[in-house]
Amino acid sequence: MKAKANALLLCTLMIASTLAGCAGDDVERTLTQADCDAIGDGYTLDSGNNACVLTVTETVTETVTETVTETVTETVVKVPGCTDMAANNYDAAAEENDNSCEYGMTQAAIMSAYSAGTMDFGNASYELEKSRKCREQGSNNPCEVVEMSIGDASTIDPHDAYDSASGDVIEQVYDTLYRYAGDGTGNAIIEPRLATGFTVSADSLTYTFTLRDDVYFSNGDKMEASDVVYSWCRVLGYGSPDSHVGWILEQSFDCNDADGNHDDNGGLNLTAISSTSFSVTLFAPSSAFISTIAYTVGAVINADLCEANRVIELDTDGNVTSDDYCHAWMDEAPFGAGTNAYLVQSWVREDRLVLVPNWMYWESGDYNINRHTVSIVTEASTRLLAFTDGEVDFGSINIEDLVNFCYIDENSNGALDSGEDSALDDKPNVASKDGYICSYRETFTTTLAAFNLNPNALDAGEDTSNTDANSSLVLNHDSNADGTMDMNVMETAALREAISYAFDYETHRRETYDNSLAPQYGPIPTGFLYADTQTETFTYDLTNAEAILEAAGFIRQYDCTSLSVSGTPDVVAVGDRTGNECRLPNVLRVMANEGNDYRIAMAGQIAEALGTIGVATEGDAKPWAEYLTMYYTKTWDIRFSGWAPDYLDPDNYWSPFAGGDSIGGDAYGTGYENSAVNAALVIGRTSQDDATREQAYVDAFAAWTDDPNMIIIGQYNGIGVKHDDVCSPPYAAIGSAHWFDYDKLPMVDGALVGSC
Amino acid sequence: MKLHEFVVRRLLLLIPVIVGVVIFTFSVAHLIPADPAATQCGDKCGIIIDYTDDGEPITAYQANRERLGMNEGVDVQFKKYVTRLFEGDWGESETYNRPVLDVVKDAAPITLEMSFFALMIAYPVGITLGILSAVRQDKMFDHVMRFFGIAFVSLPIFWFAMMLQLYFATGSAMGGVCDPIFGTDGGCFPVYGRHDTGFTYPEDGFVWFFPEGGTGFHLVDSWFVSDAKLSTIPDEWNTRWLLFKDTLLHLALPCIALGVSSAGSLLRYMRASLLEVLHEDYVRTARAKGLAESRVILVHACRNALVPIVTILGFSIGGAIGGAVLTETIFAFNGMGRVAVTSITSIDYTVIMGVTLVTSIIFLLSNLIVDITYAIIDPRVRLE
Repeated sequence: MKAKANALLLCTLMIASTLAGCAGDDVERTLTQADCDAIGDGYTLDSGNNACVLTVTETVTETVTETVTETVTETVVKVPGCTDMAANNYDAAAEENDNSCEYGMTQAAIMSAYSAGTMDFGNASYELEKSRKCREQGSNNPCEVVEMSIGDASTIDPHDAYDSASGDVIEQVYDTLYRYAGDGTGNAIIEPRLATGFTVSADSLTYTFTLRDDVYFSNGDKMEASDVVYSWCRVLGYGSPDSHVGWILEQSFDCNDADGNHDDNGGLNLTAISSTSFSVTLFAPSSAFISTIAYTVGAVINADLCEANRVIELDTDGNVTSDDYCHAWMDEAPFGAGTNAYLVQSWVREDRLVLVPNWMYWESGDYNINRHTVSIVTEASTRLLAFTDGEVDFGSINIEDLVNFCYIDENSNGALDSGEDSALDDKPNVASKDGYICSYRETFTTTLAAFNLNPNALDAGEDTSNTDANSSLVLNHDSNADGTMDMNVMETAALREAISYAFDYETHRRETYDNSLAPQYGPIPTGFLYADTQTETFTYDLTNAEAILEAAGFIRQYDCTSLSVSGTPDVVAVGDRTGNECRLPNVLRVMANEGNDYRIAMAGQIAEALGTIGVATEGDAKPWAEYLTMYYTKTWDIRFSGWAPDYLDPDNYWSPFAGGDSIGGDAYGTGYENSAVNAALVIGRTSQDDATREQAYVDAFAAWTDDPNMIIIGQYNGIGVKHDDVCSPPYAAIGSAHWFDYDKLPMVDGALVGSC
Repeated sequence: MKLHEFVVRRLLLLIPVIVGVVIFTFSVAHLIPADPAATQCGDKCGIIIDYTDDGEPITAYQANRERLGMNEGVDVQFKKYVTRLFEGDWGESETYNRPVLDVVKDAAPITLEMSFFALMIAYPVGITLGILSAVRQDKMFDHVMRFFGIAFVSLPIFWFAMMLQLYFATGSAMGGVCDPIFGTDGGCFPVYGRHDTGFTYPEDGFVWFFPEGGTGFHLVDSWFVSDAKLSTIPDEWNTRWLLFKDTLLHLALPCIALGVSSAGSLLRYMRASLLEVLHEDYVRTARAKGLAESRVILVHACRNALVPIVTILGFSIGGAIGGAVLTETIFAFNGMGRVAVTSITSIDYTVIMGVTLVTSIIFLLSNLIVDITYAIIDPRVRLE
């Protein structure tokens, strides 16, 4: 053993010595003239360099007179071949078209033959690939796009995915009856996809859809109405246990049979009428229904394949103990599952995902992108380097790094002048530096501060870190002056209105959020239908806020030092009042959590502003555990939060924000119920008439501004950047990019060929 | 004590340590003042997704708590966790949507491969420079090496990794030094990732970057692993070599970033150890016998000076795995370090515990190997 150890050490030693150049002990010999003589005549010793040197002296005298006349005739032979990129035998090396281009069968002809049964799937797929694949050649890989993302998809099962990273992939693989798209002006629209149209019954409850007859799954199976019915019932049956996204469809219909049992293939309310037609009957009229089914949860999957891969476990009595509704199979979007333009070729979670064409995709046209790779890169500096260096086409770039690619053309001269890229405050007027395309993008993500109309206080002895702690409603306002405290002050509209005037909207949009918030005046964000039914109502106006409180009877009467959340305050005698007394009988709790600088800044401002008009608050940032306890025990008065859209309809904002629990709203559990708002929202939700809906939202806004239940601060905006060889369709703030509509210009000899 | 008795004793000692790690990890993970159920539903936790049989609304948050088993007592959760652990079920990751064991199995080879090559850089460089520095004590070379030794140890890995990216992975327009020297286009190495996005063959379109399966050690797999697509590619396209080269190029910068700091400390250890040995009697005796200086240094002195260096190997492995957290994040390697960061930010208990457990086991095993090696080369250890 010792010998082995010695050998091991010697090996290590030898490697080290070799690298160190220490091995060997050669000694250089000093030459003498005798050594040089031994070489040959004329060699002399150069002792300085320890070398023998031969010195040769030669004299040459030559006169040359020459006249050369030369005629060169060069014949340039161009490489012949097919130069038409649309041809199946396009030759990138060809310089001259020799009329040898072969175009083969067209997409329509192939699909016609496949549909008629005269061509099998293998041949159809092969011919379609030949016909449709991108053939552009260039130094920038024009048929491939690489994108960097911060977060990975959680699943590619559309019926249990509720995050945007998953949605971005799902929208390439699966299709819906309708989908969201940009209209080119920053607004979003809904466009038909798998459906060709629909009719609505007179009672607005039953929708009958007609479907395209030319849609195939990627494995060649034809998509039929039964697939749509199965897909939607799968959403309800499976119940989206991980994401809870199923509520978007669950609110509208069920798949129950006459006995009230779930039926995977329809039921009373969801019925396939023919292979290209089906009907669905809703619980109640819904003008948002088409918007809801455009969300990825409404995607159509291959029913037969799902059934074949469904795992149902039974107990000994034959009762179902678990049913995965083929989720394990669907999780990574297997071949044949979807009908959209791409397939998931490879997915290494939290690393990278590769999409390649589904040649059976129904939409006519060739592919401009043969491969789309999404790399997950969490480090911002790496994303910046990779993007700048051209390793990726686009990705999430931090806002402070955008000045490397974009600037604000302040003097509108179309050129980058000194200082114009120092800050990108004026985002709507963003311009692009050479090699990049920068564009202003307004999102539908709203930031807000909700008011709790029924604030609780923790019961004595409860732990502030226990989310299940007992708490009780704080009753501290006598609504009818009968001497009984019958409600909380937060229930009074005037107080909430006054608070709305105490928030410094502009400063927070400009400074707290560094110009990343665009104004939003009501629940509907700009870019949504009926957003123009809202106008700016609440501004930072403390004088007005104080006047509202005064008029509502909230006079300065309480000893501020005596205030608590739920205790009885000391009332200062009229004669002793100095004008510095507090107006409310309690302290308002403004929720902010440690680590969220935005919310801390906003809580601090509103606390300070309210303090100046006699409303005591506490707005110190809470540790996460305490913050959660406040949320779940409802021991808060004002809470900052946010909302991102689920589907493209105003009801997706109005109802959760300001609709009462009685109409299925109040997502923040604040207890807000305004009958006028509710009535208007129900009309807006159920009416099929555009003008009626618009008026409903006008009415809702009018009622809401008199009785606000939240401060709507703004909607996020930003700047998108990409290399200038990537051509994209109009931006839509909802839904995802559709890669079939993208193009990447080829770069040949250092210049881009064509334009977007 | 015989060697096998020594090994068995050390292996048995691992058991209580691993049990301690499990208890400690579980406790720490559950003491974090954060709520995974709330993290998952964010601002939409209040949405009612169902009703109880009594008509009570069930919010997304409540459903998450139920699904994650958070409504049970911590002791019950721990019992279940340990029971499943013994059954080979490490739980399901909420972030990765996969069994934790699969997540760890995929991530571990990435970190181990990177750490191994980082140490392959660190040891030869550190030992060689340490020897040269000791031999040339107080000369200019020694001063320079001592400076670099301290600098390598002191450099923050993330900063050094970013500098490597900036200068060796980007084009000359961004400050990269490779393009003008080597005629490359966009630097000598890729900025990030374990592989290129794919290998494009004009005749065939493309083949996806790396076949799945294999050992997970891609330098090895590149020569063996295959899939349907790869098997159709003609041999003359040298696909295997391309895969290997691509893996190597992507490994280079992370390994250098990770290896350099270890090299710095090894340099200083080796120098100090060798200087101490050079004053021993047996070295003087070797010189007196008329042996060549190189033989005195390399055979007589280095052999003994290397003994303490073996001890450092265990710490080096631990340091490399620890350093992988930053290196993998910067170079977008989906190894144990990055998995740890991802699971911590998303409060994915099961993965946090899985990664910690595996990292602990790797660390313990590497120290065990070091102990055994030490016992082999220095019998006195076995006798203690």
